[in-house]
Amino acid sequence: MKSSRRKGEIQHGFIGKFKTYKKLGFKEVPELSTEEKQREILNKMKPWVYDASKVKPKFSMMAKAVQPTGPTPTPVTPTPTPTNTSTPTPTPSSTVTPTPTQTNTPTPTPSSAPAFDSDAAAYLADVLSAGGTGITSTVSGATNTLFTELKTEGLYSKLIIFYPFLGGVAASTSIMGDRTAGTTYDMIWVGGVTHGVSGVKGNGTNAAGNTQYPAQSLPTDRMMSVYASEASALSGYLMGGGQGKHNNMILDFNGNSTGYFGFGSQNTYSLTTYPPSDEGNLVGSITGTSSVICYKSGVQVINQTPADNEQFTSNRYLSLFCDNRDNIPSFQGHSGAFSTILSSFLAYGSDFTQSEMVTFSTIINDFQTTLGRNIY
Amino acid sequence: MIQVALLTVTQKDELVGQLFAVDSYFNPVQDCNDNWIISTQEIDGNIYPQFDWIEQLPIIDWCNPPVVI
Repeated sequence: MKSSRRKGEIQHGFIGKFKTYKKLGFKEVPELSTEEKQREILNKMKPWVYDASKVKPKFSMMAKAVQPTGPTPTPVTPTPTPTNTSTPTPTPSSTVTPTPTQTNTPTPTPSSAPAFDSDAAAYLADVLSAGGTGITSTVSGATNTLFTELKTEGLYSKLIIFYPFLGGVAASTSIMGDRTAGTTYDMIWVGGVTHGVSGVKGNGTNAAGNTQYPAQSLPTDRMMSVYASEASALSGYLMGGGQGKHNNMILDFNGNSTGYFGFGSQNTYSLTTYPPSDEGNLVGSITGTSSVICYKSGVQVINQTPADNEQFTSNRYLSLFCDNRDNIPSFQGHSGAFSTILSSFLAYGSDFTQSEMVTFSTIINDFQTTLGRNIY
Repeated sequence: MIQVALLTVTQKDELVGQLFAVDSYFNPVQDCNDNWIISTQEIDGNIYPQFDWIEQLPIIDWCNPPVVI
């Protein structure tokens, strides 16, 4: 224990400053062990208790947290963590020796902004943890809006797997949007996929994404969706799994502008409006054997009675950029049918009504517009 | 014209199931002449020294096999 240079008083020597000891009620420093001194101080201090109802995280707080600051971005904490202005990430734990000059009292910024959607926050946190970049406040806000609107419209619960493709690197674009599923359906990238802030791009020869979701597990009434741009003359499968007649999508088949949504026995559907490319905000849905309805960039292009509604008996993983032709556990797209599209969103789910398809198209396009990667 | 890198069957077998970058696997496929190939993106993106030999692979034009629905 140190002696004072003035009158032999004890000033420093174990934890914190002597001044603080005085404030806390000690008249003199007792002869205790270090552990006992720590316990005494903690007993004197008012314990900090986290009360979620008193914490109103302001959007800018989240935006600050997700700003990449260097080669190793700091992951966003999914649940609001109370912070003060001088310590970005305090750990509310009484087991850590406190610094008496600073208390861990949360000082939430008064704000009328709604709370950040917890599922969106969890997704963004994992994107950053994976080394994703470009997650600006704009991207965070757009992602929050995406999740919130999908939930408000009752569509979020209908999505079985979906991929917003954020972060620009393989580890981040692979992340499936719903993190309550853990990493089970995170995409496995194979071949020459290119990753960027606009999404993921196929190469037309061997690039594909394996969702790890078995096609056989999709419901009979189901939807599929891909936001596609940068198509080339190669007419590959945009997505799928099941060979030909099951759960895949190919437009401009063999260059003859035949729309093909794999929802039945090798049905092809004549698109009522069809630009000669595989580009668009494509959403297709089948309900029983009553209807196959597809929208392209918000415009209905197919509304027909399907010949049948066939599920696949040999289980295959659903894919992006190809039609997976190998049974689980293998994965291989049909050679010669890989696409070159740039995909900015991918989803498989339960069937949508026409109204839901329109709403879904709007929500997805709004998301892409805010991110500056919309195609219409 | 898309260009790709030509593999022998032995080389193909060596690459199957291997990572060329974080979260990205090699994916050899066959072209219209049954040649095994990988993409130039895989060559450019490879970060593992044990596969540096792929930089020496001959480059050929991609020949798309017929699409079968």
